[in-house]
Amino acid sequence: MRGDSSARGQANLVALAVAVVVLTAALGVGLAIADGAFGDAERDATERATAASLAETLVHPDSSLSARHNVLNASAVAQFESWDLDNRHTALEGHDVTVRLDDETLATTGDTTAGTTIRRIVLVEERQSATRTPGLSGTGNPAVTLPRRTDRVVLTLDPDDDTTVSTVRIDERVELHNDSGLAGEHEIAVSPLETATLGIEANGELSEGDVRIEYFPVRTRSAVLEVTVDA
Amino acid sequence: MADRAVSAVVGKALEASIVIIYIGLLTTTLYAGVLPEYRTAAATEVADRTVADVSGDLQTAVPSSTATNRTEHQVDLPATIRGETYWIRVQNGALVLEHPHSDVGERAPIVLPRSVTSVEGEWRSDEQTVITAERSDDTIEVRLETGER
Amino acid sequence: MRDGRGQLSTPVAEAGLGVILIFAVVTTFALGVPAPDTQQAQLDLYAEDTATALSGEAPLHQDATRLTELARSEGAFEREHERADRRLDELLPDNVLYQIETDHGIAGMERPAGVPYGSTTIPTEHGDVTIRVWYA
Repeated sequence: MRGDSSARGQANLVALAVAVVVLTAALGVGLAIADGAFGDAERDATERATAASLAETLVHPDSSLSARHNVLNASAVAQFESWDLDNRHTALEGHDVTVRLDDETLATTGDTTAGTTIRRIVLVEERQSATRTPGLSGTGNPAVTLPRRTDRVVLTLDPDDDTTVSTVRIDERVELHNDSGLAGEHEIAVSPLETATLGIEANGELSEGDVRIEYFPVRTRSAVLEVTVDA
Repeated sequence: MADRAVSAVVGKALEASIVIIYIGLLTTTLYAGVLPEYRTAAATEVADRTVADVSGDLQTAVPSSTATNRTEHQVDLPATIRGETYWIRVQNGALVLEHPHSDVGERAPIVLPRSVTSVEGEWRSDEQTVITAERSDDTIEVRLETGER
Repeated sequence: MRDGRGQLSTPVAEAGLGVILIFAVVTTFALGVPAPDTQQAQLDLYAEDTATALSGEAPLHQDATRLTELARSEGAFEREHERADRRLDELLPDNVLYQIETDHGIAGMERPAGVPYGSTTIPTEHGDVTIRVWYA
């Protein structure tokens, strides 16, 4: 029995030694993995914050790219270049930034393949200009409904000498009024949410060419603006 | 009988002491060698996250409607990183986190809409931190200030 | 006591437990590093952007915006929700699913539980409109 127990004691010691070695090895592996985990997580948070800030700044109504919040102006977008990034946002010097709209790269200041991307959904607006010269005939107060929505109207009135235009209404609301006669060019803001109807009140005959209406319909498409920053 | 190897009692005592020495050795090695590095690595992560959060707070602080003239946003910062208080400053158009430990620190560029003409101020991490945005005409001034408790 | 069966003695058992413990802790390192928070921030931005887009659009009738129409009344919701649904489908990337909720009903897809989602709530005169988005 005693011999047995001391044999077991020796075996226990060996087992202890083995256990110590195994534990140390396990710890070593654990430390290696922890090292790897820490190495992976790098400065992602600031990269993301910078990308988000730049994206918001670009779609903000103050931005030179945008017409209003989240709506970009097509011609401004076409003119946007990498040079603009450097100039207008000097704080981004030393960072690699790429700005893309729907797969087309608008501007880039370096290699951003390892960067963080933030996407914003925007509308891209292309303002066109169209003119309507309604074929007016005779007396009566003509009403012209514009075929497209616009946010403003430039009205040019050039009545004959014996006719005076006293009032111009948009959608029943009086916009211009002058008893002694309206003439010349007038710009009127109009609700962009529905097509406008112009009503012209005149005492006399109006003929074609007396009234010219210039309006600015928009062509809108949706797009995704991507900002990638590699710190 | 008992002259081969060691007896049971001594065997147990030996085992116990080996275990104790092992644990002691391990603890010392970890605390002296590996742990400070890990604390620093974790601290840099927290610093990164903090700067990113403040950057986002600056964005939300900018008033979007022209109706408001002055806004105040309270910001929550971790009071200490790696056990020490740190500073957050604005330098050269970038948000900078300054920490006494040389390996902990972070900068992020400040990118805000054009109407924001200036961002100034500094915070110490254990103060009651507030972002104020003041609009006058078309310009907005953003400041890092300390509020009252 | 007889532990004559003998292969497994106490230190070995303890060491075995120790190894399991260490690997449990290590696994949290390896798996527990969270995906960068970009996902949540991005989803919230998607929701806000689509809400902004809907609030700038005219519905089929009335001088209002598509967003306010959805909240205005049950009839208005019935009329507008399909177009709003299609509009969100158009605006959002293909891998993003969405849901619009107002007091008068829910349009869009069913949101699976436990999936991170971004949301935004716009208060309107007749009630709130909430848009939620998540990755497919």
